[in-house]
Amino acid sequence: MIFIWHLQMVNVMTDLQKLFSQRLSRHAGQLLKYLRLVFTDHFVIALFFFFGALGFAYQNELKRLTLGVWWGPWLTMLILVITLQMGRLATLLEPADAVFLLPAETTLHQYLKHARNYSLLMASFIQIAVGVVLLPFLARGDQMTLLEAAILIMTQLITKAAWMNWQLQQGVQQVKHSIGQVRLVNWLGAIVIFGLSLFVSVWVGLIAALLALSASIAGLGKRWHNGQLAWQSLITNENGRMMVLYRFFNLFTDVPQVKATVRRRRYLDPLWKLVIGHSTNPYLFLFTRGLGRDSDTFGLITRLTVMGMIILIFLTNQWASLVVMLLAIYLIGFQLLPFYREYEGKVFTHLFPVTKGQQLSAFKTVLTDVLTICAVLFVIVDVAVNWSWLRLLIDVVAMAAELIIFIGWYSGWRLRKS
Amino acid sequence: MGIEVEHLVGGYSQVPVLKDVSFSVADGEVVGLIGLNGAGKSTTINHIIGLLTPIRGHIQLGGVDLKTDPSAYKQQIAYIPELPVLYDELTLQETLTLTMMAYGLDVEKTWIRAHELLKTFRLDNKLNWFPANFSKGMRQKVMIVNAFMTNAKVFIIDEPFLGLDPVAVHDLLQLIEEARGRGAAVLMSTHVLANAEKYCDRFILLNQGEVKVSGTLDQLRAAFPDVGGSLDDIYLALANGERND
Repeated sequence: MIFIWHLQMVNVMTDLQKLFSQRLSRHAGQLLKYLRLVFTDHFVIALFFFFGALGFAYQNELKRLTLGVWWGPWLTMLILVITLQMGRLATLLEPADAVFLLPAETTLHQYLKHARNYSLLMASFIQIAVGVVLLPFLARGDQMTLLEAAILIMTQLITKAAWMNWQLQQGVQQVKHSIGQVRLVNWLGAIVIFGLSLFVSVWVGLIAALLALSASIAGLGKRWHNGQLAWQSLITNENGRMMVLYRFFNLFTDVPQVKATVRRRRYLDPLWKLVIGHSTNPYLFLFTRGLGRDSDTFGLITRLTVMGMIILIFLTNQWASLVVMLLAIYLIGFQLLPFYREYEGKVFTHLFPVTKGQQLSAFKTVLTDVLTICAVLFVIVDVAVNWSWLRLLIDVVAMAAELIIFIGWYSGWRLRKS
Repeated sequence: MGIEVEHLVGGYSQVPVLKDVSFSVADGEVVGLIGLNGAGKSTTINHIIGLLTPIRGHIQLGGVDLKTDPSAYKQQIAYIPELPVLYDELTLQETLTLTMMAYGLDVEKTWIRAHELLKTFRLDNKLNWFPANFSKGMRQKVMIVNAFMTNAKVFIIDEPFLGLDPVAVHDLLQLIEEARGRGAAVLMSTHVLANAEKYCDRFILLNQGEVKVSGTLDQLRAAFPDVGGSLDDIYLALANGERND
């Protein structure tokens, strides 16, 4: 009996050891799938130019830099402290694990160690990359020797390892620290360590980092054999980490895991009062809040508007600017049209004793307000960069004409058609 | 007046789910719509609230036909769906305000009533929350408040007890009583027969898209004389009869 039980335990152990590598390869496959969609030819070329220009600018700035500027160590500290926060613990745990793996809780430590090592490796790449980019600045701005710079980067890596252990410890112990406490330690601790490195001596900083690392190992070891895991927080953290990834990918392609989130956006409340006024049209009430709080649509409008404004800053040619403005307004309006049917799936939309005409007029009011705000912003940017009365006049006339045609005729035609 | 369903043939596609269903709910009457899963309860309700168009037959609410005056028809309905349906982007307060706007209610007066109901269902401190994130039971309570703060003439309630705590079930039944007292017509579909037996004046037993039997509990007992006295017994007899068919 005992023998069989033992065999089963061994089985579970080896399976769980394999579990992380299984999960990892699946995770990698998924990332690869999305990365291929993100790094398309155009995007890679754009990135190439972007980073090329950035590198060129960095080089030029470095040349102009006087040796050993007073703000050098402060800037270095800021960069290092921020970089240190990058790269989270990736446990690759799933919500169902809390049910299915609960019986194997104690053997899961091995799994979590694999997860920690993998996460640390990934995080180290980021830390080293930033360190290498920083090297020339360390030499000129902070007047460090190569040895000192290397020790600084080493300190960074050791601190990251300590932080990773500390993060894992949050998942292993039952007594969880609040997010505020964790953040405080993460930031303040880093400021202390790099403060020692940059303002006292890199050696003192290194010793502080080593102390932090041994404290984190000891802290982990103490709780390691206690057995229990903080499932809830482990899984919430992992979900949160994946959502950050998914949201990034969602900027480039459709990610099914990303559901539109609703944000309260209290600061928009006065705006809605302004739009609605004394109207009793329930759809006006619904559309304003829907557009303002639905992160998908709201994000889309903001992104397109900001992008249009940035392009307008760099365009001096009047007619090119005008085309960009007209196009941007059309795009924003066009992307907004499907929102008209946003609530078709809700039974109450059909139950309300409200006519289709009221729905359409409410939608057009909202459309007018949104597009007018965008148009005004575009015109302001355009004439602010290249001021002339004629340009203002042409912009205003063209925008007004587009709004009248788009809202008065095109939107109604489009909505009736579909 | 109330609800009049005459020779209703209908369903989701051209294949009728309901085959010649006729019944009525008078003002000041609570009628239980009872039947097995797939008997056609929800389809009947979807027809009454106007989501589906009848293939044949008529439905009138308070003497108004959906086709002749949709606005007046819908104006009378308060509906509690089987699964809570909420607007993701609206807070609890805004959800209720939207309903008041849609039904053209006096906002100030209705809010007094709404606050009473919210207090009853212990939601009064959650006005600025998004109800879409509530638990199932709490979302159901929002639907109940939303329906009962109106002075609707017709209440259509689809399986309201699932997920509600016993206190809320009690409060809901009391609200239904009150609505009946005001002279509203209440049609309630449910599987919780004990509640139905206690609170409904009449019952309609649907089976495979047809009204198998309808009437007061006494009339049902007379129709199924040998099976026992409770609604539960009659229902089981009906179910077994179907299995043996």
